[in-house]
Amino acid sequence: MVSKSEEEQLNRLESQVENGGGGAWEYLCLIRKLKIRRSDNVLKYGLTILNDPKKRSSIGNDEWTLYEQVAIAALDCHSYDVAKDCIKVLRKKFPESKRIARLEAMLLEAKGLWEEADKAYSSLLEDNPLDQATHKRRVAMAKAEGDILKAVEWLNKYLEIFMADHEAWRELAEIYVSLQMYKQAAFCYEELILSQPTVPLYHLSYADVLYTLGGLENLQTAKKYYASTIDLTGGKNTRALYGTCLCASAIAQLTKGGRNREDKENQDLHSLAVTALEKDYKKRAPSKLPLLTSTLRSLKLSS
Amino acid sequence: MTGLGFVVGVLGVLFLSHAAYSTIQYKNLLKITEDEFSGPPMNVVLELVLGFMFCMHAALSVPGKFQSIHPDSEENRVVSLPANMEFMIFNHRGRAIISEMDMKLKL
Amino acid sequence: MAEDLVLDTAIRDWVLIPLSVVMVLIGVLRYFVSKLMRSYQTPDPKIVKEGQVILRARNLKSAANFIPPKSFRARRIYLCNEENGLLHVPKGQAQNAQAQMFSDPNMAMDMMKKNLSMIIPQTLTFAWVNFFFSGFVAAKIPFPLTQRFRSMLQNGIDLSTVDVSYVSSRSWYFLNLFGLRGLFSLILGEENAMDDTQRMMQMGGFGMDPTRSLGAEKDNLDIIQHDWVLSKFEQRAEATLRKLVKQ
Repeated sequence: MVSKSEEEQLNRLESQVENGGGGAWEYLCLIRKLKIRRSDNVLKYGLTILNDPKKRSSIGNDEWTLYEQVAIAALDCHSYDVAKDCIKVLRKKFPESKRIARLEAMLLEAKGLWEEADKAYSSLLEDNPLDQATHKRRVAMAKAEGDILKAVEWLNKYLEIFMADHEAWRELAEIYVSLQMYKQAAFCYEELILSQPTVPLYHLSYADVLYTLGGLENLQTAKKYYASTIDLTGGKNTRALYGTCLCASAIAQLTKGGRNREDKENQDLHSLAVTALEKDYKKRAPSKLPLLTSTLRSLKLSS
Repeated sequence: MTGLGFVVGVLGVLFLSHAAYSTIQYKNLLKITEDEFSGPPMNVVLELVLGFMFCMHAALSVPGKFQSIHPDSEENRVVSLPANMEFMIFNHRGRAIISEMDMKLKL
Repeated sequence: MAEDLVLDTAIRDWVLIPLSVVMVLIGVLRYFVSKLMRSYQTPDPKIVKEGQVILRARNLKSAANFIPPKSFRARRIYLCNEENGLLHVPKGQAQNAQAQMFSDPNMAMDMMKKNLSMIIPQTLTFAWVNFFFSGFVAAKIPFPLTQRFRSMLQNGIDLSTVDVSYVSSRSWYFLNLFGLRGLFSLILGEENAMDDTQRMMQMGGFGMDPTRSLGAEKDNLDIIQHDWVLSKFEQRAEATLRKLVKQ
């Protein structure tokens, strides 16, 4: 999870590195730790370290981790030569490694040689059928090929065994959302909330899915999850504020006058959300404020 | 701040050891007068409490700053999820951009 | 007792130091032998899956109140039902698992290897120490100790008049056996931190039934009272927003 202070630290380091202030290695470590996809930067600064023997020896044994990181970044930037060279260096150091075999297969995959890559992954899985990373690569490859249904199938098979892997659940949830299979996506997001109940972004996505599903009960639940997102982020998540407003308006439309008791109790929430939104816009984007008020008026929320 | 805290901590430890020393002295005195030991004298207890407070203060202030446990504080507030790197796909629009950087790994 | 025993310097040179060195060397040797004999076996998918099921059930148990009641019930039924729930272990199968584990030749072999690498050098060194060095007073601790430590420090000497701070050679062997773990983790790296004492304890714990933990998780899940906390979150969110707006 990337927290606010970590994000600030990352941005600070990034600008420092960009302006030639050093700290490239720290920057790359932070990227690795936070699992952020900045492949172009990793490639650029990773190569400056790897091409400088003095810098390379100063990081000691982490050199090999860096080679791997740069190789993957190079694949992502489609600089196959760099990736190939990195993998070659790694292969020389670890001739037997499965991890490098996987990297080689990824190179095939990046080049678009699907059949060869598939063969490589299959042979890797034959050696070790419980290799999680390779299973995941196969799912990703099916997705990259455009065969989403196959990816879903692989992923479901994978989750049957590794059912506590929240990253896979997240991938599945995102795929289901892209396929507009919201009920299934909701299930996946529930699973994610179970494994990490304090991450507001899962609550938010779950609420989004429920809101999209529609129906009074789902809308009310969605509103609750938007509320929990607001609470967990201290009201600083704009999407959650909007979500509350949308849910409130949709619920009002569905119930039409016949408001039940629970709604009355929580009436304050969306009016507060409106105020918070207005305040936030006033502070950060005053020019967009009229847009906001007209939107909210169309939702019949603000007077 | 830590400097002050450290001094306070040293003072606290000194107080505690002095309290221990005076208790032993007092016990020796009692042995001579052949009285029963019922508890340390008042000033030693006071010293003990004071030393304890000092040590407590030092222990709380010297090691570092406390971090917030609230999920909505700046340190803990989650702003974005990590990229799902293990499911990363390479068949994306970046492919259309021919890398303008001419990079090479020197072997 | 007040007069000091004078220990021969030859004892230091020919008993104390060689004993310690031999202990260290044997530890190192054993590490490499066990490394050679260790066979990497792929874990059984069924066991991996059981572990994952348990993890998921634990997540469900601890965060149950964060999901809607309907979803919770569905999951509980999925995990706990009597027909094909993942946590449900049919009665006959429970005993089978253990028997199966013993009958599995690979596993028995593995255990044998582990035990061999542990027991053989230990008995050998103990016999060696007993044979050559029994009855030596090998060292003296520089501080006085109470009588209770006699059995620990003077194993092999049946004299009650010797001061307790003298250490017999057999006791020195035992002290080395249990006390060299820190040195080994320095020499051989952290992964060797598991020493004999821990291995012995593990032996005691062996035979624990993996299916039992499934059953325990099932019981835990069965008794959970689901109490959805999200309704409370609305009030909390209101309070948060009020504070935010007021700022």
